[in-house]
Amino acid sequence: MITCSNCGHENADEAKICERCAQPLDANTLPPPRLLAQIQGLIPPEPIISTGQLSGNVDLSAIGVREKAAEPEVDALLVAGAAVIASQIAEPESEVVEPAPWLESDQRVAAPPPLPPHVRHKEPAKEQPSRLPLVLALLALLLVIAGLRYPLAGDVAAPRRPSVETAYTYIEILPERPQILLAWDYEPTTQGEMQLFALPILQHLYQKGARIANVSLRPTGPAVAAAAMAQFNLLRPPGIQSIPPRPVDFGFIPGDAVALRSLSVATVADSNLSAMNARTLGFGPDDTVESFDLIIEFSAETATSQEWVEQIATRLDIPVIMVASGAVAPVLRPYEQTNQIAALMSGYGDALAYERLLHIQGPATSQHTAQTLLHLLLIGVVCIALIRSVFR
Amino acid sequence: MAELLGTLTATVITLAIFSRVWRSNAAFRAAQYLLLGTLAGYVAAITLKTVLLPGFALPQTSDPLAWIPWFIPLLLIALLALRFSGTIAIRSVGLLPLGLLLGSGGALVLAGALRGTLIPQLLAPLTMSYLPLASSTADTLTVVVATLTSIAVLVYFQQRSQTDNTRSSLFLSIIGKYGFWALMIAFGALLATTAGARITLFIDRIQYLIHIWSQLLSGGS
Repeated sequence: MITCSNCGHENADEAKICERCAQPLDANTLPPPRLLAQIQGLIPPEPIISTGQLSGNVDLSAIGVREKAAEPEVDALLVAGAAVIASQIAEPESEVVEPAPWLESDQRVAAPPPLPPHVRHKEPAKEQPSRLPLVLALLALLLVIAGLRYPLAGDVAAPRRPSVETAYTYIEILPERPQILLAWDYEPTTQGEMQLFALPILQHLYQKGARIANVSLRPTGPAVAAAAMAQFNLLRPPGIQSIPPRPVDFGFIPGDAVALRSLSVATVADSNLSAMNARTLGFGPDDTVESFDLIIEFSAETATSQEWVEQIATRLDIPVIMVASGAVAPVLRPYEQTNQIAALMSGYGDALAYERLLHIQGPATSQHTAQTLLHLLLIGVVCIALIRSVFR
Repeated sequence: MAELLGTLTATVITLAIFSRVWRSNAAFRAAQYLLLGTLAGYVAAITLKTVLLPGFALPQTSDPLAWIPWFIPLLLIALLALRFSGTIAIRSVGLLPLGLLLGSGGALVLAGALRGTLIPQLLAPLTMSYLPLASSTADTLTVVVATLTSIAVLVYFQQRSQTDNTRSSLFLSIIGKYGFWALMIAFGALLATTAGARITLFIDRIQYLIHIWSQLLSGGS
C-alpha cells in the first residue's frame, strides 16, 4: 500500500495518483505545476472555451493543459473529462448525449436512434369536451316534458310538514277581512320557485277577503309582485268568484335595514302611502305597520330575510311567516326554532303540502311527476358517479 | 302578432341560455348580456321613478319646517359631489355624508344583529327555550344530537387550527372525526336543497313554454 504524502490516504501499490486528493504518488510523474495547482484548488481553473470538438480531438489547452501529461492514464483522464465538459457546454441541450467515456461498455446507455424523416413530431391533441352534460340535459328535458304531459294518476300524497301546518293555521285563524303585508324580495330569476308558494297563499288570503299591501326592498320587487298577481288572475282558481281587489303598493323602499326600521316606526301619514290607499287598507293616519294582522315575506336572499327578522319580527308584535328559497332556508331555520318567526316554508315539498291543505290542484301538484322523475335522475347520476369513484 | 312575438322571444332566449350545456357560444352570451342589460335598465328606471324624482319634488306647503326634510338630502348630495374635487381638503368634506350613511346604517345593523340574531341564538341552548315542555322522545333526542354535533364540529375546527404537532387524545380524535363527517353531511344537504331549487326552476320554465305554445297554437282558448 502506498501512503499519500499529501492526505495520508492508503492507495493500491499500482496507483499512480491518490484516490482521495489526486496527488501523484510518485514524484517522477508529476503533472505540470499549473495543472497541479488547479487540481489542488490553489488557483481557479481556466475558463473552458469549447472548440466544439468531441473525443479524440479535444483541445486540452481549454483546461489549461499546456502539454500532455507524461502518464497515459492521466492523459486519458484529462482527455475524457475535457470531452465531457466541452460537449455539455457546446450543446447543453443536445438530444444526443455521448455516454461518459469512463463508463464500461456494458454500463453505457445506448442513445436513441434519430427519428426517420417521414415521422413528424405531432402536437398533442386538444382535449375534446365531454358530451355527458349535454346528454344528461337532453334526458332531463325529455323527462320533464313526459312528466308534465303524462302526470301520474291518482291522488298525490304529501308528507306532514309541521311548519306548513303552522303557516296554514296562522292564515286560517285570521279575522274577517284581515290586513296583510306581503314583502316580495326575490329576483325574477327565482320566480319559478317562489311562485309555487305565492299562488296558493294568495288564493288562501283572498278566500279570507284579505286586504293586501305589497312592499319590497329590491327594485325588482314590484315587478315580481305584479307578475304573481297577473298569474293569479289568469288562473282564477275555484273559490275566487271575481278578480280580487288590486293590492296597495308601498313599492320599492331603498335602504335595507334603515328602510325597515323607518317602516316599523313611521305612521301612515309619514309614509308614501296615499290617503286613498290608506283607506283601502282600513288604516288611519296614525296607524303604523303594527296595524297589520300578518306579514308574509317571500325571499331568496339571506341578508334581506335576516333584516326582516332583526328589524321587524323581533321588534313588533306581529306574526311573520317566511317563504324562502331552498338555498336560504337553512340559514333561517334557527329563527323558526327560537320562535322569532311564526313559520318557515321552502322547497317544492312544502309548496305541495300547502296545496294539499288547501285541497287545490295548483302548480306544485302539476309538477309532481316531473319533479319525481328529475330527482330520480339526479339520484341515479350521483350513485353511478359514487360507484365509479369507489371501484376506480 | 304581439303574442306570437313574445312567445318566440321567450322561447329563443330560453334555448339560448340552455345552449350553455353544450358549450359557451355567441347565442348564450347574447342572451346573458340582454338579461343583464335589461335588469340594469329596469333597476335604474325604478330607482329614478320611485326614489330620486319624488325626492326632488318641491313640498307643496308654505310651512318652513316641512322644507327641512327636503333640504337636508339635497345638502348631503351636494357635499357628496365635493368628492370629485381635486383638492384634498374639499374632498374630505365629502366624507361627511358617507360617514353619516355608513355610521347610522352600521349602528342599525349592529343593534339588529345583536338583538335579533346573536343574543337569542346564544341564549336558546342555555334556556332550552326551543325544547318544548311536553315534547316527544324524538324531539328531545333531536335536540341532544344537534347539541352534541355542534360541539363535535367545534372540536374538529379546533384540531384543524392546531399548528404544532401535538396529538389529541383518542377520545377527542373520535369526536373530531364525527364533527368532520357531520360537516360533510351538512354541506351535502345544503347542496341538495340548492339542487332541488334549480330543478324546480328548470321545470317551471319548461312548463311555462309548453303552456304559452299550447295557448298560441290553440288560438288563445
